[in-house]
Amino acid sequence: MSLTTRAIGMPLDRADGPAKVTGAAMYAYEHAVERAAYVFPVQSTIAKGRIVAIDASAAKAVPGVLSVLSHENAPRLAPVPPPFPGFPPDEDLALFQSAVVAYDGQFVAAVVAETPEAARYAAGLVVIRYAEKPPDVELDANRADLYKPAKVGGGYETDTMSGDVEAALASAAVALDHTYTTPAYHNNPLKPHTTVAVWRDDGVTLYNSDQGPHAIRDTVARLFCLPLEQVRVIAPFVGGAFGSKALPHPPAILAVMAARVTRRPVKLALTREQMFAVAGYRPPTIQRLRLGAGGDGRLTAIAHDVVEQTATITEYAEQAAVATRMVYAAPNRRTTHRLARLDLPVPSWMRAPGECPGMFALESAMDELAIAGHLDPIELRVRNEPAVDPETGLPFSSRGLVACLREGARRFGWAPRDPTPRTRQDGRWLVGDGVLGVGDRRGGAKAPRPPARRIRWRHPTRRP
Amino acid sequence: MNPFRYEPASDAATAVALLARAPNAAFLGGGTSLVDRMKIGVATPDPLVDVSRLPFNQIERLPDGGIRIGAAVRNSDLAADRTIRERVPVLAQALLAGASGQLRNLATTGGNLLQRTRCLYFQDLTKPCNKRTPGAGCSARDGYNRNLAILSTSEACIASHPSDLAVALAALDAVVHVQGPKGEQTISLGDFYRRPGDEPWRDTVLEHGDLITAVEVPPLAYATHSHHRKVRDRASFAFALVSVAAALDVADGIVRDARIALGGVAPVPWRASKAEVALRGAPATEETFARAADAELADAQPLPGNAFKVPLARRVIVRTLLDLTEGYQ
Repeated sequence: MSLTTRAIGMPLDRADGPAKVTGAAMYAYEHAVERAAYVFPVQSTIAKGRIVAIDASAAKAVPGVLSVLSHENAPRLAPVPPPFPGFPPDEDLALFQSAVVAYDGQFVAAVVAETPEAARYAAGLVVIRYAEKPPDVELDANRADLYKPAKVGGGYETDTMSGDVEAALASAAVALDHTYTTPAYHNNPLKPHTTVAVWRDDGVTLYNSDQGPHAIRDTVARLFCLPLEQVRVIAPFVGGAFGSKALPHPPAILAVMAARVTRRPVKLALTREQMFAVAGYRPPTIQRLRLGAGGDGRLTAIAHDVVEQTATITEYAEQAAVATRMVYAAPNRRTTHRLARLDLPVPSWMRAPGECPGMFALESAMDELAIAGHLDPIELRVRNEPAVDPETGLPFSSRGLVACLREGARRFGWAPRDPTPRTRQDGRWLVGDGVLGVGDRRGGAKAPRPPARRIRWRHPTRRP
Repeated sequence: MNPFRYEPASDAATAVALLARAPNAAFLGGGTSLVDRMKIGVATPDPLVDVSRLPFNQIERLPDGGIRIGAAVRNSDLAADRTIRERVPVLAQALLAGASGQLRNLATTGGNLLQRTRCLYFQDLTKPCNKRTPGAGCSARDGYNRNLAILSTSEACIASHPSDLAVALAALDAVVHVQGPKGEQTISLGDFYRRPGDEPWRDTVLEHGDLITAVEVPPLAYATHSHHRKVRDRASFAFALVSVAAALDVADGIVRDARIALGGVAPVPWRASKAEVALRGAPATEETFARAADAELADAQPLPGNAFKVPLARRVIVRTLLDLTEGYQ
């Protein structure tokens, strides 16, 4: 049977391409509103403590300043709703509702003015006195106060255990125990978070740089006690996000609040610097991978123990070990996630939450195991291909990992190379290769979507 | 941002006179560093006296073989200049290792030399910094200091100097031409920058109103064998963790003369005089180069956050000298 198509494989113009490249596409901040005012946030300069006093007199004296908002005068908001049923609410959205400071850079006040320049200048004149406490900001796998969250991101179980991992590791022909760390990743897109908020008699409209209009609509409606139909979110173009604009963050709430207080349409655009504190980020992880295998390369045990951080004012648990539950077969299995509550900004979604740091650790360990067991890294993976989901026993609706690996190996010229580490050079650079599969659960059938990639990287030659 | 006045200068004398009258005024070159500091509130000059259009935009070959570079010559033009590329490749390479194409199109030679440190605490008004506010204290010593200095620091300040160009100029013994309220003077690059001591807010020996008009690179025949190598956390658009500018004169396997300057490791572009002494007359071998590097770095006083710079600087020095030696084979 053959299929003819006029679309697949054909070059197509993006429907919004001409508008974007000619500058005609209207991004959130560009929406023209009558009598716009501008808000600029004031950020905390301490990581933990309380605001004792706010002196806004110099800021208010700046020509064009309409209002200086803080916990002393902000309208009371309703309790923050959870982003999804069963998830902890992000208390960072309870903007200006208390004097407590939970991290460096938190919004603690804001200036609304006739021009963005006046708002920004006046924001620098707001003097805040704090009662500071020593902050706790260092992630460490040996902390005594690590705790087990009820669930991890995506609603997955925090831990899974089956068989006897310790015994299997102790008796394995080849065993490996490595710890991998990943740093914080900031999803800081080209267009920073911006909101234009306009209150009218029938509710509030947000022109928002936004991946999740429904989430922000629901949150604004709950916080400001409005029916859902009185909150409109208009977001035809995003301007980049990488997940940072999928869940509500404080800036949009600030714009809505400032517009309500001043009874003016209000525009807010974060600076690049502000993005790092209030727009979410992928938390750093410390991942211990233990693998055990027989002489034939078949895994007998997989243990993936993750330590990561969350903020004190909400819980975000990056599901770093969840992909490990479905990628390779092994009779003895263990995945865990433990969190440290730190006085740091609130982590949130960033592209491929969980899989990105987690698959890096698992696949790095698999490559190390291949070397330790004198097996080809692709052959090792093929030998550990599960027939069904290894932890649920459910069949895969589709799974192409082995086919991807073989096709990739063919295209990359995998077989003829000398796989011994530190043997191939390109000029003064060492050339090596590794294998990375990326798995992703989709839908109720929990089908993996594993494109395999061979990554070629270069290290400088070690000279004596 | 704080309000300020802007005054384009018609000639150097007027510019100097404008500054002499206004204690808070500053010269504006390309603006790639000063305007950034103004945006974050670290610099609040008023007025800004624009000297970027003064007629100091020539690169001249001098009769003695030296090169005179006007203070307003843009970094991109300087890096692309044929004389520079042929006679002092280290200088062109240092420029191209810095900033980005867009910034280099704007940044001037004089302004480049007067960049200020990119120490994070210097750039953060909410954190104490002795360089920004005399006597306020140093946040970096017990804070994040990965990118800061290991040589010639003081209790008051461990900031590193950010310029790549200045490192090459230090190796080349460049001379800075200055016009100021008290007249004209020349200052060798080695005397131009101040070590922090207990006055870290003074980066250079310039007085208020002193205007750089040119930088002169004296003749150095073997500068055709020169090289700049920069190591940083990103492959592009990042300041040096360690950089080395070097020129090497080798004959019959013996080092006749050498010039070495280091970036990223000191509050000033660091001329590695001790390493140069160790090289002169010694065989051009890896052992000699390592011994020379060790001689220079013996005085390093690293902190836990930047201790890696000592072995890194050693390796980059050795590698750069080896590369230059290969050029003689």
